[in-house]
Amino acid sequence: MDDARGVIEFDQVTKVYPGATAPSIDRLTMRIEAGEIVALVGPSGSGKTTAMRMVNRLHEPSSGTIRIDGVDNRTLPIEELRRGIGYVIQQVGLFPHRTVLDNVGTVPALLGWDSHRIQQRSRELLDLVGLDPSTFGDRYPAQLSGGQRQRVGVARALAADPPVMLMDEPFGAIDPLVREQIQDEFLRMQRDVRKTIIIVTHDLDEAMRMGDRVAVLQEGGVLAQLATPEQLLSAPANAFVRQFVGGDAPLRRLALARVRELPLIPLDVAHGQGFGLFVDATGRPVHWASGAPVTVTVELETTLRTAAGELLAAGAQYAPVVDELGRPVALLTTDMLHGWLNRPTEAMLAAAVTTTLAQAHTA
Amino acid sequence: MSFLADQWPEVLRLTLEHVLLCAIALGIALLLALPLGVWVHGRSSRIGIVTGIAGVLYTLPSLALFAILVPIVGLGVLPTVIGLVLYAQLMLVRAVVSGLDSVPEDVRDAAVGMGIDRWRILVEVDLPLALPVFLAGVRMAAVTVIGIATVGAVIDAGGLGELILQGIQRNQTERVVVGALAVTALALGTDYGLVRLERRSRPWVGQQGSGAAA
Repeated sequence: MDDARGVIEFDQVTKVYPGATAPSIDRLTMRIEAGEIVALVGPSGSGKTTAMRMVNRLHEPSSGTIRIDGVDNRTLPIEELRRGIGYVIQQVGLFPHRTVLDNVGTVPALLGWDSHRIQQRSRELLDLVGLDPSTFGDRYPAQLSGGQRQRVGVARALAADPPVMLMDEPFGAIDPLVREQIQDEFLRMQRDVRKTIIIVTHDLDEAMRMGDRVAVLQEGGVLAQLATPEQLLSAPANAFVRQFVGGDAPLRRLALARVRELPLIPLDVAHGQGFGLFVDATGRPVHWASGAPVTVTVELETTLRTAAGELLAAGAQYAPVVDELGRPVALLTTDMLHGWLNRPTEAMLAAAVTTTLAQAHTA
Repeated sequence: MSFLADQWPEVLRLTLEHVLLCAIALGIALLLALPLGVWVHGRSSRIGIVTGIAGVLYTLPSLALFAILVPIVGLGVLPTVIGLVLYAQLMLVRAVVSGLDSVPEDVRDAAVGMGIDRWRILVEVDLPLALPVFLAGVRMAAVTVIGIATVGAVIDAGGLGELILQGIQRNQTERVVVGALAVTALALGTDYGLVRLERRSRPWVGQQGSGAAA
């Protein structure tokens, strides 16, 4: 495995469309590491799609340079460049007159692979995206559901194993129930394939869920902030980002962590502080040492947002944390959630470092 | 119909002549319209010029058009074929353009984004996807050409028009009726055949909805 492949660098990239007075992208400088997902978000008109489409030269920058693994993307012949970059769009753009297998094998065929190898690779990829090749391989796109089409689109983009993938609102046309499931599947797949991925989305929740880092673009194509979801929420770089992530930023931040990540109070310590628990025959907590019944428990894998909701709903200040069998392992208090949200030094420090690095890079 | 019983070899000969005349005209028209349509597609100024000229030719009465051509290229099949080719251009070029317009933008975007070169996109994506709409235009053009070719008999091009012309000259209603019916049958048959072809040109539709939700 060549892990260093797929670093994308934007270097002072500006795009002014012919006839436009203002730039769509204004001196964009950012570095996307190999194997990283960066989500581009911003209001319409912030140039996020333009920025993405300049990577495979569907648009050309007016000035500035985009480098992939240190090489100017204008060095290669344009078709060769594009064949080395996976491309997924919202409407998928499958060839309606070709079967699913033929669609997936498009780029390998362009690269001149022999038909046996193309066939084998296409089947492998359908498997990877969770579609049985013998069921779906010979169908036409019109015979698939929206979610299935999108999976075929992803398989097609991955077919020639490109180090870089560009995805323009890839899950935007899928109904919300299926969308989250496909996003999760995609993230699971990404753990194995480790592509460098740029995802354009207008959906902040999607950006936070999918992106290792999120790039917020504001009107005029200016990069407002490039940071991890957590940094974005806890230390927005400016008023625009603060407004864009919205008033429920604390709740969004809580959704980013799970209960097990908190410095929970171990049971024996809790016991010493008067939070002893009585359990039933199956080991589940029944009431506190004080005699008060246990009204709510939270699981280790629950997000802090859900846990906060459960505590609020039960009107409880604290609750036993239980394992998957329902047996108590630790104690969670609302103070911990509060404390987690208010650990500014760490997040701010990280944000400050990022900013300094970015400035150093610009200078 | 004693006329048919006596004269059927003659009717058959003229029908074949008619078919040949139309097939040659349509073939040449297609060879001309296809590159022309691809060339103008997506460029409104070019479309304006080409459909403008083709539109003027189309509105000329066929008899007048043939009459103009005779002093230049003489009598017979040649001026008729030229006339028919010119007539068909408007419909065929438009058919190519609207066929190409019917190719979904996202399909083309994906094709370009995956690094397929322009020529391949044209041949492997645009043209096959444009085919159903294009064939609908070909159908119209074919039926029109079959009809107008009848007029070619006036300038010695032969075909079923000759039967009708003779009927008028000799005051034999039977000849006129048989000629007219034969032309109609030819047009209807061609139309039917092309409808079939049109349907077969898109095997990928018509089986929708069998996919379950994701």
